[in-house]
Amino acid sequence: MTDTAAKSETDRAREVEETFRVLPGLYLIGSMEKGVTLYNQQVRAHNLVWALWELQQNAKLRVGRVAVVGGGVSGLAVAACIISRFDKAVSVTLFEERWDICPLQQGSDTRWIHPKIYDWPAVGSRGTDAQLPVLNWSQGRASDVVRTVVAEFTAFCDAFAKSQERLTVYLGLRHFQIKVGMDHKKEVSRIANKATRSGPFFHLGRPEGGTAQFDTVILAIGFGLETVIPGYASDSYWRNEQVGQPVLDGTRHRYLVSGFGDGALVDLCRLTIERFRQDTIISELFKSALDEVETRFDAEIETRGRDANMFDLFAGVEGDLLGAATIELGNRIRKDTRVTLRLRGRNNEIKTFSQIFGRHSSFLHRLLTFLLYKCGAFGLDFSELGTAVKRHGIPAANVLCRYGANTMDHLRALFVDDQMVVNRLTEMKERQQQIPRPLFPPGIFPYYEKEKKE
Amino acid sequence: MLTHVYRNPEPVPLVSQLAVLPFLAGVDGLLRESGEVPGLRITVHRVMSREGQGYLQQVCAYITDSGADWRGKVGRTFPVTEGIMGAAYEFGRVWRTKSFPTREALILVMHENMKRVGDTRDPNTVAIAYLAIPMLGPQGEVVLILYADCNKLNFFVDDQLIKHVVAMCKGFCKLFDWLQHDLPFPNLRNLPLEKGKPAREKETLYLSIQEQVEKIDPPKFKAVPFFNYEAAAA
Repeated sequence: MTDTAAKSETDRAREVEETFRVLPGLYLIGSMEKGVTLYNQQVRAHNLVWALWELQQNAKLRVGRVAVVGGGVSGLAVAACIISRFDKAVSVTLFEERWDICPLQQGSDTRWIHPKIYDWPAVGSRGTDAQLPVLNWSQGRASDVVRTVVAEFTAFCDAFAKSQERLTVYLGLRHFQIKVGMDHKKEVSRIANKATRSGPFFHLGRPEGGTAQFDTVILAIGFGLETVIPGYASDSYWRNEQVGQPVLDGTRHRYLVSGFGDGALVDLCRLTIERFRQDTIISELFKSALDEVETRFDAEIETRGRDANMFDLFAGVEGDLLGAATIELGNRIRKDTRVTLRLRGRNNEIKTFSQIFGRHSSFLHRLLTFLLYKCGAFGLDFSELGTAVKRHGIPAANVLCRYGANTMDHLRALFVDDQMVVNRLTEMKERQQQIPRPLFPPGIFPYYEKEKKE
Repeated sequence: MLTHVYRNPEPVPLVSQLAVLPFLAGVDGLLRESGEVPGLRITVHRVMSREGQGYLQQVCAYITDSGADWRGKVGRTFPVTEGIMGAAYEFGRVWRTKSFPTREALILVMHENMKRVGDTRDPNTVAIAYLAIPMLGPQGEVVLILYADCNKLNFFVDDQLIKHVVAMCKGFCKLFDWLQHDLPFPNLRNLPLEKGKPAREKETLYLSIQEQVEKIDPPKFKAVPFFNYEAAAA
């Protein structure tokens, strides 16, 4: 029996609840963690709500009136988990800054979302179905995934929150602040439009300002919008663009990708690999050897740890395990682009290419970047952004800066007194304890089809 | 030992569901060939895991006389000690309900068993004939369990009938061995499931009315160690 199984469910729930707790009754989902994917955030939402329910069942806390901050996938997942699992004494008020739920991914047709591919080569990571009990979805374009998620959210609301009091939604926030008293009472002030749900859509009421007390506040804001670098294109990762499509004017376009997280490396792949598809690339490169590659890398990760720098591992197997894939990839390097990967780091800490092979990105992207490197598919630059752009003659519109978001500032801005939370947020970032695996027992969340029948 | 067992469904990929439903419809047709079978329902469970714990999960709807009963049923998870399925899982053999002279005699014994395992249902409202056929993987591990129950006394005691159902299961295994090897549908793949340590609860087998079928070997996959068909992009 594992340690996890040996503990009582309430003890496990307490451990899980603590990983999300900023202050008593104030929780944060994933924002300070390294793996902030749609799937991971949704899993965390399930884990948190299960833990809260389990603890309330055992009179360890009272959930009461809940504010969910953020109307993206994790916010919707938290809300749906709560209304399905808790009885009607628990109500949810959901706050979304923009004018619709899931605003980042709505209409995003150029980004692909897969539930677990960033866990590759772990067993089951190629599974295309999220297999989550609340707001389940399968891989697809971001726009298709959120369409499914919103449809599921609607079904949960129809089944478990028929009265508007059970789930209240505010859209278009023009002001939002959380005031936490010394007694940990939480007061939310806002100026926004109360929205009325009509199927999967929302009608806006008149804008209104006000304050309200909540027993529980759950921050489900993801990591916010990326840092914008003045002078360069750098739209949000989720906005539609054309870098993945062939150039049509017969010329060869120069691009610079700055950064080395997953956002940067997936764009590097799109710009350098012909007919690149995030969902099929490993199958296409490794073909029938994929299972063997998966097994060997999975064993290596088990030994080295997922955070280890993988450059030496890749270099050690390049003639053996990676040989055929390198040849395959070499045949697919785009002819219409010339790409420079700029590496520097927030504190100028990146001096060599091999440094980026630590846990700055998923194993999959580290591997693809290594293979592209072996194919000579891109150039490298370690200088200041302006210098690099000038040196390589890159048009400003073709400079893609993928630096992630300043999540800490974004979070601090939500609080009247951010000093009450900043130390704990820093600790959360250091400790990385919100495990993105389903920790909730199977069958814990009621499903809307059953509710419909009954 | 699990402290709580919850019965709400967890998702099962639609392709996995569709992969077994036509087969079950065929089994249903066979079982009804000689006449009406009151309350007959058939389904398949798979072995899956969550956080290192292995469970049985209902893969698809129950095939019934009136079609399929699926709401709230597909995806339910059970500890590996659940009823006659648990026995099929534990021993890797076919299990069924024994022969009884009368319905009353069976219910009398079953009621005692139900009390012993803490089942508080009225014995007159539950099925009186059960069948569980494990489909084993290449290493002898249980991959799937065909489950059937009905209200017809002694329905599964006929060895010939069980042999026919097992033969159908063998054909099913053979087909999926071929699918696993030849990959004729590139977008439909049996993607790996994690293995877990079996999650055990108090056994709920009605031991005095069920028996292991000694003479009929269970069907076996040669190349399928898990059952998780999904619509992959490649």
